[in-house]
Amino acid sequence: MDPSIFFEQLINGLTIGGVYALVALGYTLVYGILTMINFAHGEVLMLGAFSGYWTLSLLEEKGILWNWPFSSAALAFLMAILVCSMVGACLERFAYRPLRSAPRLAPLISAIGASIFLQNLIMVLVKGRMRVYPDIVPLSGFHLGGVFVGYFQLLLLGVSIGLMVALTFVIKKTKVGIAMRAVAEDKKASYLMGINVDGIIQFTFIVGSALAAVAGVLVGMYYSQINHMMGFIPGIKAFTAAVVGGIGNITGAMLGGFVLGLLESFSVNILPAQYKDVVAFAILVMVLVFRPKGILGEVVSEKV
Amino acid sequence: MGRKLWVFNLLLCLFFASPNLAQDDWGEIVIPPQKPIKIAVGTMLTGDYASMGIDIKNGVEMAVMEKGSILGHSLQIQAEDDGCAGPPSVAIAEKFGNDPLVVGVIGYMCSGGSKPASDIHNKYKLLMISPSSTAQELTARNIPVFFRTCWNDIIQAKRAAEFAAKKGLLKVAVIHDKSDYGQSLAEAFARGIKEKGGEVTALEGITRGDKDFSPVLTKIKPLKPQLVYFGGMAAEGVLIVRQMKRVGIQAEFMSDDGCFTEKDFIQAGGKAAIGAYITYAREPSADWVKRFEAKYGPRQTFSPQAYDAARVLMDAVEKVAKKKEDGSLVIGKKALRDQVAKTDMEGVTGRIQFDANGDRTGSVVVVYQVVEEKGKAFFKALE
Repeated sequence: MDPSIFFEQLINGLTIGGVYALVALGYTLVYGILTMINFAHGEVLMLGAFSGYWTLSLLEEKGILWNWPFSSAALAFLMAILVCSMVGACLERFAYRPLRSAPRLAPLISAIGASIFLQNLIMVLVKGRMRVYPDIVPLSGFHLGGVFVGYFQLLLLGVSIGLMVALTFVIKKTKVGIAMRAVAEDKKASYLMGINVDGIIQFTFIVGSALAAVAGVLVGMYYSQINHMMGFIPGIKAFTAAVVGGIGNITGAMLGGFVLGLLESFSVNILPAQYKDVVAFAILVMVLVFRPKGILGEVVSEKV
Repeated sequence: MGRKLWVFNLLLCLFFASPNLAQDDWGEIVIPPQKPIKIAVGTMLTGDYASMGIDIKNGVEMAVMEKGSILGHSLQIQAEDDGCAGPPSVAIAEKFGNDPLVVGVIGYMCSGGSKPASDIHNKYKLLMISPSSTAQELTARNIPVFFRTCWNDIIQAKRAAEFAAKKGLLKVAVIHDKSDYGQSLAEAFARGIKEKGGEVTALEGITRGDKDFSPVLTKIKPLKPQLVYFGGMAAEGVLIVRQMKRVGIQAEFMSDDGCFTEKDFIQAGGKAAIGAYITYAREPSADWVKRFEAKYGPRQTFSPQAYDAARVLMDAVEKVAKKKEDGSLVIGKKALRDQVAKTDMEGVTGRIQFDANGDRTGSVVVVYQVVEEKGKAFFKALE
C-alpha cells in the first residue's frame, strides 16, 4: 500500500473510530453498572444531533450563527448535552428502573421499545425528512508530507480523546467516580455504605447520554445530514466495539471503537468496499472466539 | 310447486347468471353501491427514505382528489408502508389482494419490493403501476399486471454513459449501494462506458445508512478517475459528493434519479454539489409544480410519476367499469389490464404509452446539472 494512502486510511479510521468509541462508552458504562444493554443509546445520539441542529437553525434564523460561529457551535453542543442528559435520565427512570428486579429480558425489550419510540417521535416531528447542518466547519484541510488531513477530522479526534481522558479522570479520581465503581461491584454493599444507588445509576445514564450527545453533534457537523434513523448503525457498531473491547470496561470501549474504525477503513483497501463490514466483523468474531470476554474484558475490578 | 321444479328453477337461474359472473377471464372486482373505490398505494412511509415515499403518496393523493369520483362512487386512497423492501411489500400486496374494494395499486416504491410483490399481484391479477421501481428485470418477467410510469435502469444508465463519453469523461470510478436498484444502474453504466471505449477503474459497493465513505474514496483517489458515478439514493450520494472534496478527489460526479431532490441533494450538498450531473425524467410543467407545492410543500423525486400512475389507473377504471341497476360497479380485471396497456395519455411527465412488457415507450431521460445562478442552486436541464 502506498504510504500516503496508508496514513490517510489511518486518519479515516481514527476519525470514525472516535465516534464509535464515544458511543461505546455509553453502552459500557450502563452495562458495567446494571449488566444490561441500553439499546436506545443509538437514539440518544440521534436526539443529540437533532438538538444541535435545532439550536443552530434557531441561531441562523436570528442572524447570530454566522457572526459568532464558534460560540454558536459551543451552544449547540451544550443544548445537545442538556437535552440528551434529560432524555437519558428519563429513560432510566421510566423505562428501566421499574424493571430493575424483573427478569433480564424485560429491560432489554423495554430498551428496544424506547428506541422505536424515540425514532418515530422524531420522524413525526420532522416528517421523515433529512435535515442538513449548516456548514460551520470548513471542508478543507492541509497536506502533511503528501497526506491529506482534514481540519474537522483533527477536531473530532481531539474532542473524543479529550472526553475520554476526562471521563477516566472522573471515574478514577472523583468521589462520584468512586461511588460508581462501588455500585458496579456490589449494589447492596454500596447502599449499606450510604451511597445513593439510584442517584448513581441515574448519573451513569446522564454521563453516557452526554457523550452520545457530543458524538451526535459531531456526526451532524462532519457528515452534514441527519435523519431519524441515523442512530441505528452507529449504535450497533458502537455496541460491537464495546463488546470487543470487553463490555463493562472503559478503556476497552475506547480501544474497541478505534479498532473497529481502523478495521473498517483498512479492509476497504484489501477487498472491494462492499465487503467492508464483512471483513471488519469477521475479524471481530475471531477476536471474540479467542477472547470471549473481549480484548480487555477480564479486569473485573476496574469495571464501571 | 314440486321439489324438482324448485331445483330446476335454481339451475335455470345459475345458467343465466353464470355467463354474467364469468364475463372476464380473470374475474371481476365488484364495488357495492355506496362503497368507495379504493386506490391503494404501496410506498415507504417510515424509515430512511420516508420523505421520498410520502412524496409518492402525495402525488397519488393529488390526482385522486382532483378526480373526486368515478361513476358516482367516491374515491378513497389507502396508503400502506412497503418499507422499500421485499417482505413488507409482499405482506401489503396480500392485504390489497384480499381487499375487494381495491382496483389497483400505485407502487411499490423500490425495485426490491416491487419484484416479489409483482408475483403476488399476478396471483390475484391485481394491477400495479410503479411510479419509481426502475430495475430492468421487473418488466422482463412476463407479469401482465405490472406497469411503470418511470423509466428502466438500462435506459437511464445508457443515457448517462453516452453523456459522459460525449464529454470525454472516459476514465471512471463506479460506486453503488448494493441495492437491486443502485447496483443494476452502476453495472449498466460501467458496461456503457466500456462499450464507448472507456475505462472503469473501480467498481465498489457501499452500505446504505453508513455516513463515512472516506475509506472507499481514499482508495479511489490514486486511480485518478475523471468521473465518479454513483448508483443509489441521495442520502448516500450527497455524502459521497461532499467527502470527495474532503479526501481531495478532483473528478466530476454523476448520479441517478435517486439524487434528483432539491432538499436532500442540492441543499444538503452545499458547495460540493455544484456541478454534479444527475439523470432524471423530463421536468413536469411549472403550473403542475405550483399546484403541488401549494399543497404539500417542496416536491421530491417521484410525485409526478405517481400522479400520472394514479391518473392512468383511474382513467382505465372509468372506461371499463359498468354500472349495474342496483348502483354497484363491475370491473373486469382482464379488461382493466388491457385498458391500461392501451393507455395513450398526455401526462405531466410526457406522453404515456406502454410497450408489451409494461415499460413506457419513448420515455426520455434528461441529464441535469446542479448549477448556481444568482446565489440559488438548482437542477438545470442540459439535454
